[in-house]
Amino acid sequence: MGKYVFVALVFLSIFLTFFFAIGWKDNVPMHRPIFSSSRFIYDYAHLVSPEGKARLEKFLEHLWRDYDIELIAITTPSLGNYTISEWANMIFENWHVGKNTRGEKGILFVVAPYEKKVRLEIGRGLEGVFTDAFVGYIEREQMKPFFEEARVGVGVEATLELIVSRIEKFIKEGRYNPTEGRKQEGGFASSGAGAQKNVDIGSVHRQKKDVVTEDLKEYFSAQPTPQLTLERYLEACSRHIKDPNLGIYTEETKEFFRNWTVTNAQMDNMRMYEGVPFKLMIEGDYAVIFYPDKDWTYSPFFLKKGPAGWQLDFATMSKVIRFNQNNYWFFVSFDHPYMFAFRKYMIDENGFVWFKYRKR
Amino acid sequence: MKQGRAVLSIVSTLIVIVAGLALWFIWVYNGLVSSEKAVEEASAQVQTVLQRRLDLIPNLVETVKGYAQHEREVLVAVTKARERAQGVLADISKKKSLGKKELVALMASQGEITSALKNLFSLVENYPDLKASQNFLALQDQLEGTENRIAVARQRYNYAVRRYNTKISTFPGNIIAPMFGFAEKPYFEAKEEAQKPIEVKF
Repeated sequence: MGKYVFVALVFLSIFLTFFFAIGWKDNVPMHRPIFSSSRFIYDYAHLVSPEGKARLEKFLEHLWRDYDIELIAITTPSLGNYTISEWANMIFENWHVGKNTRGEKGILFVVAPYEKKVRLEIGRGLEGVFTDAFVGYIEREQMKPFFEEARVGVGVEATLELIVSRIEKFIKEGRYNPTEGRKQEGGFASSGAGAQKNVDIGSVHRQKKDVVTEDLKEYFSAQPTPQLTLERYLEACSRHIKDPNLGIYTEETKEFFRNWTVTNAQMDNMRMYEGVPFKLMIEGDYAVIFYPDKDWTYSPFFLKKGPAGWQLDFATMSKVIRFNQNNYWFFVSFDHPYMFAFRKYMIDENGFVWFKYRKR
Repeated sequence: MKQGRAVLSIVSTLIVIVAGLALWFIWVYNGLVSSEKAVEEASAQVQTVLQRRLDLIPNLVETVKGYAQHEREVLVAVTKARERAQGVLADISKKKSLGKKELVALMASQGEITSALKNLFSLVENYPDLKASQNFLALQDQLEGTENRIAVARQRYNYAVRRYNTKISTFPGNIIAPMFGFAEKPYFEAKEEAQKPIEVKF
């Protein structure tokens, strides 16, 4: 009996030795944790809420499944004596980010709130898709405004949306194939690609939105037709006009935008709608502009007729339309006055409108 | 009969020892060759990223020119430094491995670019339109990204050199290395100042 206890103790001590032998540096393990409640999010600096973390985990699971990209996000209380680039590269190699893909398709997102630095490092298999310039752009024009308002979880999610729309674009153009990829020579997971930015989390109470001049106010007032109003909105986006009090918005929308973080990258993304053929349906004071010939990345626009003309109703859109992990839009509620436009199409149980396939 | 058996066993023992020695010799030699190859690969990677940096510069100069035509001197200095560095890099890429002399020339030419770029970026401060233009911001991201790649490639080169140098200077490598002309390789030690990435504050 004593012999068995002894053997068991020996095994236990070996196990414990391995368990605690994992190197830790500034509360961050130098190797991928073996036992962890999460696969993609390692929030050592405690910046993300549990709900936000669960949402992100789900999102990243899809990113991995659908696009063969392994994105690991780490928030760290300290970088030690390293620069964020050195730290990120060290973790990238030690954790071997991207090892669960078909060929070093890893991304490492590092947030160091106390050093006020953020870095996205791109694995060797993805350098062609996510260039340094693109990564710098999404950090500066999308992530930074959210982080400055201390909305870290939302900011990460918004950044992921742009990563997904980039990869979707590359797949459509035949420049990226999730089912392909080869192991890179030389045995390194990253050659130091990506970009970093100085970001002071929580330094801005509320985003400053410049008020437009009287001339522009006139130009961006409510328009006689829904098309014209949408045209003006797309122009406002391309000129990065963030003033929430433009006449092209309904009163509720103005209120909504006042509290909303608007980024240049989101506005640049609206370029995809320019010159795209659409369908317009009007019933009473309500109008819907939608894109039955396009895929679900093109979400519809709701407009409402006021005394001055047609205005965009983003307040309602934001309440009833959501986007999934592939940036496809769907309804979470049918309880709104714009449903008339979709009456003749099938809507599945997940809220997706099937324009192309089955018409009622 | 008995004597013959004894001779046989001595001979066979000798054969085993000689064969063992030969195998060991081959094993050590192969180890040296493969770590030399690792150094060569690492140095090729360093040259690739240095070339990448040089390739970005004409674009940068063009962009800055569009906003700041009067700053001829600084722009010309950058272009000249780039040309010189391109010459050095072209000479080196013909050689298989980097000697001390080549590395010193390489570092000097790259340091020249770094200081010329520093002047360029401090000048940009006077042109807010340029500083805020998407084109310039993208170039700056590309340049910073490349500086980081250079730092990573340099660090990996030094690591490979350290492994190789240790191998040829310790037993058993130190016995075999001189026979085949394996010589010590230089480190890529950039001056702290020259290798610091350019940082533009906004």
